[in-house]
Amino acid sequence: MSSLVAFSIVAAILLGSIAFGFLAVGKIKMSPQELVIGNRSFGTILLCLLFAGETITSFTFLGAAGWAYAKGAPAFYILGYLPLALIVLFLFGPPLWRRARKFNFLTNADYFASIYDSRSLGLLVAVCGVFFLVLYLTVQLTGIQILLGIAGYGSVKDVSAGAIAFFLIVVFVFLSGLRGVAWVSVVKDVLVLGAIFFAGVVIPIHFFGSPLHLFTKLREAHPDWLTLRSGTMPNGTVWFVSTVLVNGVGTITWPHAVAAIYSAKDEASIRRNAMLLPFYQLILVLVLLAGFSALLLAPGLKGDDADQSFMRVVQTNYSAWVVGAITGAGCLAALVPGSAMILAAGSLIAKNIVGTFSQSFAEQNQTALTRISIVVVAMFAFVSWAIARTTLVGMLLIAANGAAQFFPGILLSFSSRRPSALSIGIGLVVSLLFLCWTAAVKLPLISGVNVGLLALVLNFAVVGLIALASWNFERAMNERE
Amino acid sequence: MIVEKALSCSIAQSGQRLRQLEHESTCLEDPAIQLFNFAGHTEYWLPGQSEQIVIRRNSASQNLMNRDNSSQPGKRLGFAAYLLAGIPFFAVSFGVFFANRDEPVLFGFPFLLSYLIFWICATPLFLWLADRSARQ
Repeated sequence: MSSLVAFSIVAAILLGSIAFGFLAVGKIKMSPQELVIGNRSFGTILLCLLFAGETITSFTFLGAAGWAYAKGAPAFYILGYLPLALIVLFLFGPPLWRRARKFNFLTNADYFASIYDSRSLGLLVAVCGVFFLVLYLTVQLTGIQILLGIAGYGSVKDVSAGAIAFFLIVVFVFLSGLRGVAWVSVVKDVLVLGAIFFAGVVIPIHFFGSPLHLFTKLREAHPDWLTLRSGTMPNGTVWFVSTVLVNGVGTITWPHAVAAIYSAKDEASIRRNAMLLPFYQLILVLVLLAGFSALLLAPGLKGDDADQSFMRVVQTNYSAWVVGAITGAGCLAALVPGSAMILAAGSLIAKNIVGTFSQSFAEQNQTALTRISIVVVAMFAFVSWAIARTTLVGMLLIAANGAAQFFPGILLSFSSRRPSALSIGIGLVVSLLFLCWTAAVKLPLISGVNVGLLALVLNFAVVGLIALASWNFERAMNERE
Repeated sequence: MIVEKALSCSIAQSGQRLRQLEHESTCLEDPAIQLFNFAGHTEYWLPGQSEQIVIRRNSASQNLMNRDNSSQPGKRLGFAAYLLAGIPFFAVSFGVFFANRDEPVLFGFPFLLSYLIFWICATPLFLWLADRSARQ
């Protein structure tokens, strides 16, 4: 009975927000520009909603609480990397946008292909981008599955509920594009704010009297929970700083984040967006409080179950209405970034992968091709997730750290002397091979440093060496002449 | 001359339309009238077409060298802006080495958490100042 109530609320929230998105978008004619980057017309508010929608995902929603529950202080990294991402956005977003508008770029691979004047580099970036996006989509699917499992009170065993939710969102993206995603973010933000307020304020006050007593109790039960371990130990300070750095850089270089930058109306909107969003991120503190509360209220969850921690507390202590509302909010937190990812992957396939092999065909049918690619990407992500969930979890670090490997190419494109496309491509490939190797031997840290940052350093080093060598070679050739 | 890449046109047009015009311009009996040409950037007027077309001969990378930042007004961030944006950047990352402690406890929050919350709130201020420094 309670699962029925919870599920009806989740369904109402999903259908209601999709209907809201359709109404908000109205009858705009869909061109590829409109579908993928909202015709470069988003002002500060829509842009903020879009970025908030993309950065605060179901992983943040469940994962932050899960980390606070299972690991304690290392979970604070979520508070650290988002400001860094916004500083990077503030510095490099506007010039990126300026070039994108000038040359009419649609995807991040367009940027690489045109600025470095190499379609092969564009193809490489597109293939990597699609691979990362599909992996990241599976995280969102796992989030939906966890949430629907909670709302089902044990009755949900298979993936059918998640499949229906995912199908709805694909139809939605197919029809209303990025503008629809931005508008659905409005509903998502309101609901997520409500859910997080409930989890981070109402639950601690209900059970501990105040959030402050929560910390007192926590210090008694787990004295070492609120500080990081020192130095190079796993999850120590070195890990924290390196993780914050690589994630801060990587958040902005994801293909769907680049598409969000392109969607801005002007440069000032991007800067204002970067100035406003840190305040939004403060709600993550409440998510951490929810995780800490769950640790005291429902201890003993191990491994992946830690991600369900505060939802379990809600499930056992509150009525099905509350469970349904929070689950609906959480599902939107997975589906909003998920749809932005599907769109970005679809446009990469249509414009940069198909386009490399048959430019005229890709350009003549761009909208249709993007839409077909959206469906293909979504199907592929869902099927691979349903079949090989455990294998994908191991590959996730490659995606999260891999997206950051686009950063050297973007940063160096602003330097007065740009390196060649070849050096950028080799740097990207070498760093990704390094990441694959560390994933294969299950080595997330090397002497305390997050491998993602090491890969980034390796990437920069390779690009620098090749660029220096080729410049010296050119000079030598010129002198001989 | 072979038009390698046509990246933009004076009036917003889809790429397909532009290519069609390009094709017409090469097939026309009397060739398109060239209006002016500078730095890899040519404007044509086609008889029978009301709009002017701009065809870029050069690729985007070559174009960047010639015309980046000169044609469009964009805010240039100076040294001060990078410095101002760098302060919260290093505080949130490397500052954690020094802020990793429980005490002093502020409203029950461990110091590391209050430190991060403080810098989240301070980041917009620094970015705003960086923005202001660029405007002046």
